Amino acid sequence: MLFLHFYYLQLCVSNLNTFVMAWAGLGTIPVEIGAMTALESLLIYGNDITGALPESLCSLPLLRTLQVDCLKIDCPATCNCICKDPTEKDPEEVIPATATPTIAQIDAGTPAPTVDGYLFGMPEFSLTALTNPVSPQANAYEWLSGHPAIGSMPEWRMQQLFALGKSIAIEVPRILSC
Amino acid sequence: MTLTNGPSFIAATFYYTFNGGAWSRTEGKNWLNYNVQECEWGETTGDAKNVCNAEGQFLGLSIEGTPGFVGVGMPPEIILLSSLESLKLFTLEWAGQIADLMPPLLAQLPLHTLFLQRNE
Repeated sequence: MLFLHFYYLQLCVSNLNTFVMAWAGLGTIPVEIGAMTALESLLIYGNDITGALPESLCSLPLLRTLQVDCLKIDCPATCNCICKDPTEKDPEEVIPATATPTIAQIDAGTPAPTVDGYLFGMPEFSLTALTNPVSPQANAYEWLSGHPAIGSMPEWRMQQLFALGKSIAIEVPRILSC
Repeated sequence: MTLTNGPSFIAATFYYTFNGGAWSRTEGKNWLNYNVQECEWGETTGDAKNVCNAEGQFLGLSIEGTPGFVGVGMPPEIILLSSLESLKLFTLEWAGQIADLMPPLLAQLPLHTLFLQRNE
């Protein structure tokens, strides 16, 4: 069974507004979830959660959609739980569809000469992973290097392909902050 | 963190991390296709469709694991997707506690939607 603890999530994903944990093998709802103050939708049906919901969850200011198994969970009146049929597996209905913008063609610019130039600026964790030839990063790099249009494609597309281009400044803070 | 570029390398890293070669024809559609923008890789409609902004940066990324596949972690490159608002990981078994398998700097992303969903 998948065990989850929310310490990390409640600590740092405090701007999360939609959290779907349906059918995730969840056994308990830690009280810390009450610190996810931006939460608007929480879908936790289909799990093994029993008992009463934490008070902190019921008092989240923005929570509008809370879907639970009412047969297993004691939902306080203040929570406005939506009872979910445990055989229902599709959480999509309450999640608004995200609009899909079209991709604008950015200024074509000048063609980039080589692949290797784009390794500059790669974060250390990627460069370290590249030294292991079977790492996902090494595979991804090999795939990119095999692009038939390398050398003739415009700068913007090279940047899209490599994502970690030399024009990028990355400052990774040492201390986790939200 | 300043990042203005697109995510092909990162998306390909995800593909290899989550054993993309075993994905179904639908979810694996166009992944690693040199002629298709990475935003258009995968599902073409619906909840599991990837979403990008006008600059080609990922706003929403959706990954579905295949039966029997056990995820050992999330590539740290995900934190470079600096516009990512939605991360959906469907039907993935994890080799440990999921919070320990996420890069700690995930918190830097402007995530507002996180699916860690396992269908049974």
